[in-house]
Amino acid sequence: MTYGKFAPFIHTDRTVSFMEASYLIALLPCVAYAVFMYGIRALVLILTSAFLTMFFSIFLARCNHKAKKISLNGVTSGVLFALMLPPDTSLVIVVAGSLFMSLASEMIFGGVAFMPVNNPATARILVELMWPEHLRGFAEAGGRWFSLKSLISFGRTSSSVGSQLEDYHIGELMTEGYPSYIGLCSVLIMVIGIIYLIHTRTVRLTAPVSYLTAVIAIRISLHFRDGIKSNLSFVLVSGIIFVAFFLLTDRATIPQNRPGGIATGIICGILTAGAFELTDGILPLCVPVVSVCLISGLIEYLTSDASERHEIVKEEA
Amino acid sequence: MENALEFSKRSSFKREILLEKLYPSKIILPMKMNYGEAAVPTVRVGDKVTIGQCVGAPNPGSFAVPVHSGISGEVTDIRTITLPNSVICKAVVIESDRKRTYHPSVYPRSDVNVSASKVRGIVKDAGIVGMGGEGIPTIAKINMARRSGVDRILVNCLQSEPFANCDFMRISESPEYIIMGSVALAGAVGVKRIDILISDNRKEEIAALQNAMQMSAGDYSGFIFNFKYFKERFPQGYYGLVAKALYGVDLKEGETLESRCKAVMFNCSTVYSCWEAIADNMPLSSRIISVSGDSSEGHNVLVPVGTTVSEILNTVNDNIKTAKKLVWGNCLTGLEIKDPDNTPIIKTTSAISVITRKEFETTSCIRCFRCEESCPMGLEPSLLYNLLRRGLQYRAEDEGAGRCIACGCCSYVCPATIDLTGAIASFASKINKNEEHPDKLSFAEHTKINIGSVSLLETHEEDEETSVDVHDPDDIVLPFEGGKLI
Repeated sequence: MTYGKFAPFIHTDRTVSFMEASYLIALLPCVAYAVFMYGIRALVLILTSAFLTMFFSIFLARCNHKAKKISLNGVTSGVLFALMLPPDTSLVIVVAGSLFMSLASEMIFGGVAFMPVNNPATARILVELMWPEHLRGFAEAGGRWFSLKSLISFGRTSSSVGSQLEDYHIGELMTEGYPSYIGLCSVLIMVIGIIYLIHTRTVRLTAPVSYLTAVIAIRISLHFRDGIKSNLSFVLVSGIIFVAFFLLTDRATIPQNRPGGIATGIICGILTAGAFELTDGILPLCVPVVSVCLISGLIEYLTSDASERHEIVKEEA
Repeated sequence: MENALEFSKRSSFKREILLEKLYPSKIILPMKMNYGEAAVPTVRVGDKVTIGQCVGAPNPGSFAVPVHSGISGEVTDIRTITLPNSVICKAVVIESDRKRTYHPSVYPRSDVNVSASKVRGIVKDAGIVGMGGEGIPTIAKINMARRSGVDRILVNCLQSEPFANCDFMRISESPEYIIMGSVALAGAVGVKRIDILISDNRKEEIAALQNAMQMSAGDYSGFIFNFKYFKERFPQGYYGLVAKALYGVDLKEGETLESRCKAVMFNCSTVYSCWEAIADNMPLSSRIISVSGDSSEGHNVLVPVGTTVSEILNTVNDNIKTAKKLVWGNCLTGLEIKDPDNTPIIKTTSAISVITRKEFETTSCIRCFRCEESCPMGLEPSLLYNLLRRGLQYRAEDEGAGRCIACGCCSYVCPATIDLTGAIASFASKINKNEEHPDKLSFAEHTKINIGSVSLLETHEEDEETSVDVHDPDDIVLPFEGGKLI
């Protein structure tokens, strides 16, 4: 026999590992800025979350007698989860969130690729509902750079934000950072990561762009009397940009076809804009994402080609 | 074409104009190197052969083409071989005597003013087939084009696959042969219009062709040349995509360029071979092969047909012991070679690819839909793959799996490195071979052509349109008005 494997014999370098690594690299600017802004505690939070998520995934898989390799998916989930936490979060909450993410993905659904909902967003909602008073530690930048006290204390925290949003200049909101969740404090830094993601063509932009368009359009239509600065401040500080490009680009839970991506983005945007009218914080960001993920299968089905829906198309003779 | 891959920057060729001639120590000539049936060996073990001598002739009434030797030497064996494309046929093994003796019939034709019917006869007897990979006997395409009433010929200079450069080499080295061959084929088909399909970034090749057109303008008066520029994207040279790009036509199953678009397409290497047969009386017995891969220095080699892969690889500087795979053809559509010492290149082989990188590990599908974006036929490879994996073959057929052209784009872009092409293309070839399906007719049956009905020694069939008395070669018909002495 003189023949063997079927073609093709070359392959693009954009493998799953490459895409996972790109995602992680895109988050590094947010990680670095978080450490710069909030000190070592932010670094410890992020590293702990990433390590524990990966560790628990491997451990639980081994408990199920499944061989599991170290995957960047767990690390990325852990980093995303940590970036949505306030700087004064206790490590207890991080451990709980990491354990939940690993349990949900490995034990219940058999892997991150099979999760029906966004793992970090779900874990964040869970810890928010379980310990709402322990996740209010928004710190000002600088000061306690080497302090690790907040990591080991599990007391109720109160918001330590001194200044109001209106006191911040637009430029300050983009660069110096409004006290917020550790990864969401600077849009400019986020944009660096987003540009990298787009450059590596790792993500599709239909859902994020549709989401942002819907949120901004609804926000402006409801709050146009508040002025440009107020609406722009909302866009920069609320975290919708982070959600758009780092949660709504999850291939496993968001439809990847164009109509599906647009529909998902719009629905999520409407829910987010509406939720922000009722409350603020992390819930208006994460709850719509998780809700849309639950129906993403239906959205994908309805927006797919007719033949996929088993519809009979009668052709003219 | 939206769904396509751009490989224009992927060539590993460091010296593109380098062309090396190889004189192998032996050749293995398969009797079937074409779409259709195998020829029958006309030599015996121990016979001496010369360059250009016919060693295999088609059986009367068969859809086969003659086979000619590209070296001089002695026939040492006639055995059955299996080619990488699973073709099993007889092969004539010839050991070279290093003398390079030509057959007496091979000499420059003193008068290339040949009639259209004689062009068809020469093309048939020279064993010319589609050298772009189709392998359809060129005379069959010419006859089919005439029956379909085409109004133009297309010369395909779109070589868009990665790491292959042989067609561009041919254009650069012999542009005048491409031009005159195009004119000869146009005359044979009975049309006046010639469209040259070429990538817009191939400036040198375009300039070479235009220069050749200017130099030989007096030889083809009345013929109209047009250049059609394309982006260099794979697989733009596929006839279905050419139809879509040029004429906005989606060819359905059973439809061809000839029937639907009134155009017939020939590869530029095929066109070259036609003129080589007309002007030099040299049958198709050699071709240019690109030797390249994902990390080797690429170059082109002019080799006799039947040269073994191992002899060709001896011309490569790289240490081929580090190669993970050897591929018969280009990296996207070729076939893996397990025995390079006994695997010959045939008339349709355009490249030998050396793959040095190891394969990526396959993971589960991440539903990124990149395969769907890259499929030039508009299929959904991930869906088809899942259907086939679950045994839903009828559903896969309904979803258009039969239209897969095995270009390899979906597998190339798949981040999970799933072998989409292997699964879908295998299924497509299985259903397309189903003879019970009314649309799945073989080329010969569809065109009702028996190109083996006239042997090499019989006169060429004259057609009614050009029933000119050709006893006197000065009675010029078409297309070589004015004559051209070599």
